[in-house]
Amino acid sequence: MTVDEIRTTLLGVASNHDSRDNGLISSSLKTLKEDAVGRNDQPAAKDIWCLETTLAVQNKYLAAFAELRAGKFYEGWCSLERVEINLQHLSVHLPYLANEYQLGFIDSHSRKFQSLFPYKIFMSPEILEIEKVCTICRQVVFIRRSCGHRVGEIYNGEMAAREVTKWTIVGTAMVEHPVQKYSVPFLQDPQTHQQVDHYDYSTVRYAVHALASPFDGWDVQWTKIRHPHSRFPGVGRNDPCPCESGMKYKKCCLPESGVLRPHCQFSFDVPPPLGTPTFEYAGRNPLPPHAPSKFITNLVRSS
Amino acid sequence: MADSTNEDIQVTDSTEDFEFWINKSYIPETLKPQLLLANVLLVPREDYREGVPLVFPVGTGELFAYLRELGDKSIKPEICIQEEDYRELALHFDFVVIPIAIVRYLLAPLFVRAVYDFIKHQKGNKLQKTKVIFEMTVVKDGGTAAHIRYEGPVEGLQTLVQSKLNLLGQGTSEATSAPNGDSK
Repeated sequence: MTVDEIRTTLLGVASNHDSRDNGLISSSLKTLKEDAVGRNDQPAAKDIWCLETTLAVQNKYLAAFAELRAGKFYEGWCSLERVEINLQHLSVHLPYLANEYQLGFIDSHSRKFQSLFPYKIFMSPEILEIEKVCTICRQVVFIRRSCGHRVGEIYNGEMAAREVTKWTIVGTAMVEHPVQKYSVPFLQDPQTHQQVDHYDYSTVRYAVHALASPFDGWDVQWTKIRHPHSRFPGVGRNDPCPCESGMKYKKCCLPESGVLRPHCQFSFDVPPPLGTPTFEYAGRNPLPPHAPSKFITNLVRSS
Repeated sequence: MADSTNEDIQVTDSTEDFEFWINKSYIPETLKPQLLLANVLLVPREDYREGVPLVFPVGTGELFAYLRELGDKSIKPEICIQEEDYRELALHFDFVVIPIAIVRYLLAPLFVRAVYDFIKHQKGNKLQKTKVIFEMTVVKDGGTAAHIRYEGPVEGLQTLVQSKLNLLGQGTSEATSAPNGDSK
């Protein structure tokens, strides 16, 4: 494939993602880059790197969507993180303000998917980096002697980075806003020592199954609405209010029309498949006797 | 110089000027002449934790290279450490941490701008969501110094920090002239 053919294919990802030959695109780009590097055409090599990274972003986004559909939520989360990282690197060299290659769409919708996940706390290592090498020339990096390759820049069609070759972990922290989003803590079964995924992915599952295509637009808004007291049987007047205010039920929501609980409101550009509920109580136990529902989803079709 | 506290930015008097840092015990005599030529000096965090005596935040090497390669030759950066002691600490929470800098007052606005441009180039489409921890000791010709610590959105470097530098230059009392309306 030529550069122009590849560019056209990538531009049409929303309609051709099911049918395009990713293997052919990748191998063509590899050959084109080798040719460009061989004649020391740095601008052409960089252009091809941009196309390679665009392909990677698109494919990783599609992979994330498929993983979420298949119920592989943590895998999908990790794929979305790779999308985010690649987009950040790409955006320095290829501004996509006009949503070229659907990159703007992928950027915004990846973040929307991430916002639906229940992960709130992450494990973050504190790493003392002792020695690093340049990924372009493989020379050890010295503080006063630069190898000449700037991190993030493209040389011979490859992005320069630093590989840490000597390091030690000096601590671990629990953080809300990590750099490494993959560092999600999971429980462990005390008997089998197997990892237990205790998270509730109801909203993610709802969203991904309401979408016919990964390139159908959607939006989400978190609010709070009041739910009938009948949904909280077994909660006594003097028990903590199910809205989690910390106050007694009788002093908090009981005198009101219902219990104030999180409400997740979706809007879809394309109507979801027939049979998709327009209103759903979501959570590990939809009607627990003593525990309140975690959140509720509602679909509002755009006019 | 006056003391001040603000929501995201703090300005305090300081005595930690260039001589203070260059005369540290871990700086060999052979390195001192080189450091004395600098008007921007990146300094390590000391005693971060037991077993981690001298560290720079991850990315310091890239920032130092960026400053050295700037087209504006008025900035003469150096780093207050010898090669074999240089370590970076990656904390991996989603803040950009800039190494503490000792800066001559006249260069401070340029330095802040350079840091902003550096982060902007690194972060690309994530710039708007990026937060920075920035600390700088500004040294004036009379020997007085003020330490500025800013934590917040990267844009604040261009607004809050530059504004504080202007006030420092005027010798204005920080306690009564906080830019965001707070007064402490």
